[in-house]
Amino acid sequence: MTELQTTPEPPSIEREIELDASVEEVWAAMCEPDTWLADEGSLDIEVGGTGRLVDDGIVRQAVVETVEEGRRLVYRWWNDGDGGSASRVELTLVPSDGPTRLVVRETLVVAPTPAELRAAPAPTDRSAAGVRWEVRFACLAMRQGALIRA
Amino acid sequence: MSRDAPGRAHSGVSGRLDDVLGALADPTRRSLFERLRAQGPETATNLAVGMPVSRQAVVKHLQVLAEAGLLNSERVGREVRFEADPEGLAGATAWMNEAGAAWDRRLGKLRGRLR
Repeated sequence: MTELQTTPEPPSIEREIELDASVEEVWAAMCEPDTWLADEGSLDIEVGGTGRLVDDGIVRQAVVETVEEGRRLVYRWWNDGDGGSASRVELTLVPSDGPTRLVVRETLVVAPTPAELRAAPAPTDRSAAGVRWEVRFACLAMRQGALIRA
Repeated sequence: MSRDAPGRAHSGVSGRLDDVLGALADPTRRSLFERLRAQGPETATNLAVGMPVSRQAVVKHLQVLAEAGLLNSERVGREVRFEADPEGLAGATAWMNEAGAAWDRRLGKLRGRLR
């Protein structure tokens, strides 16, 4: 929060927790989203995998961006229906001789507008980093979500 | 607070948050906003000095920032003076508080599962 007062970078939060379990055990638990990430729902833990998660009464669509087995999981999610802000969640495991450390970072990203949703081309150029690419990616994910729901 | 209150609060600020994020996604607007926050109220003419863009472009950027709620403007003589609005980041701060509380809850559940 102090950071937000000094630099208007996209708002983000970070949490860190030490878990008395092996990396393998933590990863296995992480990959069952309905047991901790949300009250109900599912998420396919593979790149491009989509899901719908209901947490504390909030319904979110999600799409997985990065999977590094036993190390890192990155996904993006956004409120279902109202076109509200999207955010990216990065979950990173840090192994040690003792407990396994899990680092969570969630960063707000710009949610696509309905016009952008209609006009969105496929995200072919991953090197064109930044908000525009992120918007396109989220658009594609929303389309996939719509197809799966249909 | 009722159980679905955070959901309503979130969707309430989300449109605004998108405006704020969109406004600050542009490096020129970000630097204008940072300057106004650091140096206090200023006119578009003075802000344009030393910038690689025209005064007209600066005015447009300032308008986008103002529409997102990040700036206030006040007419002084023949010019308009812009001032950073600290309340403009309130939605972002609220999001951070909500997101932080949600992760504390989720991580507590994960810890309980692994016990």
